[in-house]
Amino acid sequence: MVAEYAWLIPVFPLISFLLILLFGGRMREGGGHIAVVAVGASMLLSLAVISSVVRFGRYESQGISWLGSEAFRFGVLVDPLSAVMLFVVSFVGFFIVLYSLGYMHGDPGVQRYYAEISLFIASMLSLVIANNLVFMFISWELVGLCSYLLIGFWYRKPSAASAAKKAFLVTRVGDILFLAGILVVYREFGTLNLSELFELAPGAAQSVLTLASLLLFGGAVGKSAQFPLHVWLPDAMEGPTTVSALIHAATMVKAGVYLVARMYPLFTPDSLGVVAWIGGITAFIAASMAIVMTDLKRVIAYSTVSHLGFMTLALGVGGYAAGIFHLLNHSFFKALLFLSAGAVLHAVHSQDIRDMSGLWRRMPVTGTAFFIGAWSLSGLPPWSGFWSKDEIMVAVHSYSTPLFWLTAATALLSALYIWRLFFIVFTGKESEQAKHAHEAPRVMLIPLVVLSIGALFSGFVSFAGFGEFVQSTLEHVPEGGEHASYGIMMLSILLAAAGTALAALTYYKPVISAAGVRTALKPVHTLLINRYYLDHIYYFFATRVVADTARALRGVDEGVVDAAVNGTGRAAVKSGSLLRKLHTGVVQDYASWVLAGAFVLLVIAGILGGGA
Amino acid sequence: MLQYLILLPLAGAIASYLAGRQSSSAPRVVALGVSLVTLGMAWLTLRAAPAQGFMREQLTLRWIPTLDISFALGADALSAALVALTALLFLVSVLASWGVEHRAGSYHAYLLCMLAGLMGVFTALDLFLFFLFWEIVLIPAFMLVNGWGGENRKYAAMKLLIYTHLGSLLMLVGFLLMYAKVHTFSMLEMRQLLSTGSLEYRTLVFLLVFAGFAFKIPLVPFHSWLPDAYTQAPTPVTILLAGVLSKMGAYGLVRVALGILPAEFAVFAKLIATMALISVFYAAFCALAQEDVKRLLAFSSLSHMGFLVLGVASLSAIGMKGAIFQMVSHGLIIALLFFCAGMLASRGYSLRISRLGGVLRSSPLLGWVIVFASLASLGLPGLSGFVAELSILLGLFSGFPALAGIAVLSLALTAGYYLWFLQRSIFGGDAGLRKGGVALVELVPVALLVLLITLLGVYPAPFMELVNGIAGQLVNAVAGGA
Repeated sequence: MVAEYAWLIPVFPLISFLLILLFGGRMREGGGHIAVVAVGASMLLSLAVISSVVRFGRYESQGISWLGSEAFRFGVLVDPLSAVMLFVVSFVGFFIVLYSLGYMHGDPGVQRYYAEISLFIASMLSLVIANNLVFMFISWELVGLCSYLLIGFWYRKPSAASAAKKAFLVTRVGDILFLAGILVVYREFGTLNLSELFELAPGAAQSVLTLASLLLFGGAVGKSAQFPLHVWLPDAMEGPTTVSALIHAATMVKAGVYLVARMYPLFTPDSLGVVAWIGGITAFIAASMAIVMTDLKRVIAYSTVSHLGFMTLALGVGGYAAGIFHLLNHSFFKALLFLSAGAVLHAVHSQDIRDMSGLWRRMPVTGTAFFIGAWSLSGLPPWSGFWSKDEIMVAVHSYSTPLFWLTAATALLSALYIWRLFFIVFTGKESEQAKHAHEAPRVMLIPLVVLSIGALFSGFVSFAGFGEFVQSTLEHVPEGGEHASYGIMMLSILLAAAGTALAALTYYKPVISAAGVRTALKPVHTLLINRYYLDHIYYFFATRVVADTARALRGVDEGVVDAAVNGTGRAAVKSGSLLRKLHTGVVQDYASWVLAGAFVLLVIAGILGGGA
Repeated sequence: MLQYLILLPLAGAIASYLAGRQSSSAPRVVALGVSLVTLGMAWLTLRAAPAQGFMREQLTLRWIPTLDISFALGADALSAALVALTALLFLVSVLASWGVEHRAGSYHAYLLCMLAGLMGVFTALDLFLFFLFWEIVLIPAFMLVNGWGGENRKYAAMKLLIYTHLGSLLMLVGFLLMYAKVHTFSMLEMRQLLSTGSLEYRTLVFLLVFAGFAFKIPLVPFHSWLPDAYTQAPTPVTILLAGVLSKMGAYGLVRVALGILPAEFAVFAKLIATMALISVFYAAFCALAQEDVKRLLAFSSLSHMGFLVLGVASLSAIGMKGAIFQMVSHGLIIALLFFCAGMLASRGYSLRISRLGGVLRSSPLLGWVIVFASLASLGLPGLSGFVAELSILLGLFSGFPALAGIAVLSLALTAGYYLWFLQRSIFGGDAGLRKGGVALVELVPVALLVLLITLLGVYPAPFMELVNGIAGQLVNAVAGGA
């Protein structure tokens, strides 16, 4: 059975990492072709494994003992959920690496780039097929490490080094909660093997499960940039655009959503309620901030945060398949949006959308790709984003009314911000920068075409039994409330259309003045542009609370603890420099005698005890 | 064979001293030869160490019969692990000392004496012998800091000497009190005999002995000697101080305080864990505020040693294994970090963080090794530090969940001070370009340490299986004695 070889999937890019690390410097493109081949091999094997899962169901291997006890047997688990993730990571990952051959061409750090990106994909793939919570955590942290290195890829830029550190530290807060969750799970169940946990979970106390699942969800909040730990993601744009695409579409941020989906049997109604609300709030505030940002990549970044919120929300309200469905669709349209944004940046050498205008004429392929991505994201029918958003709204509707209206508002904002971006960048009068723009090379265009096809059609898999397939991951399917409601579907279309119309009336045919709205809603705009002041609060905490405590303790250490010691010492020294000289001499004598004595004894011991 | 672990370095010390009179380069060759042979013997010891946690007495001499002091050496998995670590880090230290020209004979002689003492401490089965070796280690350490250290070496050396002597004194009183009761220094027999003593007596003995080790590890507030000693000592000596000498305290804590007085340890376990937790946070906060690379590393080491003690105090098998793992892991990682600090200094970089910058640009290989070592130290999974921290936390959570809940938060601080350091000094900043690649004597120890840290982190099972027996034995002793 092919699934028995699933463990090889992350091994290919791992080998690629080692090869490029050791020999990449002597190869063309820093060994980029090795990375393409390795990730390609992972993709092909993933496809084979997925087809095996579809036909024969889940597969779990015995695994090897990692820490010398049964609780830590690391093996492979492939089931419908991991199959979907395998597809997302390896397929989208492959096209991003392929695109890199064009995008990163000529960068002096290209060897490091391909080494790190190989490790990145390897870690993500091993996270997806791990069958043990600690194995997952190790992969999880390596994903975090790689994003740290890649966000800080151009480390000479202070902003890049700073963003990398921020990403690592903020997600570290989540990781600590994840680790605490592992501690609780281990103490309660005595095992960390996923299948065993799922069997034991129904028999455990609700309070323990709630605690454990909320801690694990804390890890997801960090990794998947959920409120209030979402602040690292918009800054994480400092790396190459391909890295942003990988982080946003295929790897890093999907890890958190995957963790929640993976550990679903441990979640209780209480903890799912928290998950749902965090997701809903995240989706809304991120969408609201996306409207006012002027950095091309930052707008897309906030849109990622918002859509991750949708996925979390879906899982929270019991729309298990809907959440995973949206994850799949989002991977395509978000990778597409980032890669076409990358092509734009490549052409105009600026990230500020106020420098861009009327790019459509010079970059038709890129423009079309972006248009498809935006259409899909905005939730207008009939492309992928529409279908999964609709499923999510149905699920939310049967869960909570206030949450439903929050989601509805977010749906409107989604369409508004993405079309705003499209109209500003691609339509209108050609700007100065746009005049020198040119279409990207072919190696960059092929991935755009493939991902466009994905973004258009991935939504139709739901008609081929995708939902049932994903649901079969779970033993106990959550109660799914009502099914396809035309009322909700109409509302969803209406909201997306309204958002699109607002964007068009403001930025395409300026009936509404954007500046006028800004002035009229001054306080709101200030709040949004300052990102709800969350960054300010964290900055205050890091500098005023943590750093000041550190300085104070250092003061105590040097001024109190050490001073006491020195005071005693000085008193002793003052009693005569003669004494000090004598003391040193004494030590030397003492040393010689002790050593000589010990040596003689040891010689005797050696002779007498030689036979022992 | 164990006696040769002690005899060979002593003979080497004499040879090195004599060779130093002829040329300044001969002593290091002697030291290198000795360290390679010692490493081979340590490897054999590790291979021979029994999986089940009983001691193997390899050599017993009735040394001073009237006092019942015997020259008894032995090794179990714990001893063997530390013997191996010592031999390895000694090799690193010798290679780091390759450029020492000033009174090279004496320098290497002291270094070798220290090695002999360390091997003695880790293999002694007689408390008196243990104490003797303990003191033998201290003297060369003092001489090395005093004679070859930085600007402020006299002060640092004296502080180190007085401080640790104070600890030794308390410990010695404890040992003598034990002897007065049971009339033997044999570590193997003591536990049984002592269990008949009165509660007050045993409590007093335990506190004295514990204090001795707390000075050496050290735990806050007995740490004041550490930052100065680590900063002022020549780098090769700092590698041994942080990598191995701190493990004497940890080893004593496990072997003597826990091994001989398990019931008393259990009584004080929560207090010890709390002290260790304070150490972890206090040192981590202090590390965050340091302006000198070596001081940063010194406080980081202090913090990680606190974590080790948390594992011991958890009194659970997995926590104990984690603590033993941490002894080795911390030794390797801190050695690599200080080795890198030495490489920075030898290339003319300032070790003041505010003036150190752009290392990745001017010395890429060194810069990446520092990144690696920092990540290892902050507990990145896949490297050895994580395995230790995870096991310790799992163990601690089963015994003292609240303390474990707090301890886990320290991981954010550790990540914080390392990443901030990396951002300021390694990735960012600029201290001007420097020429010069990496020499072979630098590459070998770096490669060795990087490899071991990775191997232990990726696949820790063999090591964990090795110490499984001893960890179980120690924990069971508590369960049985309490």
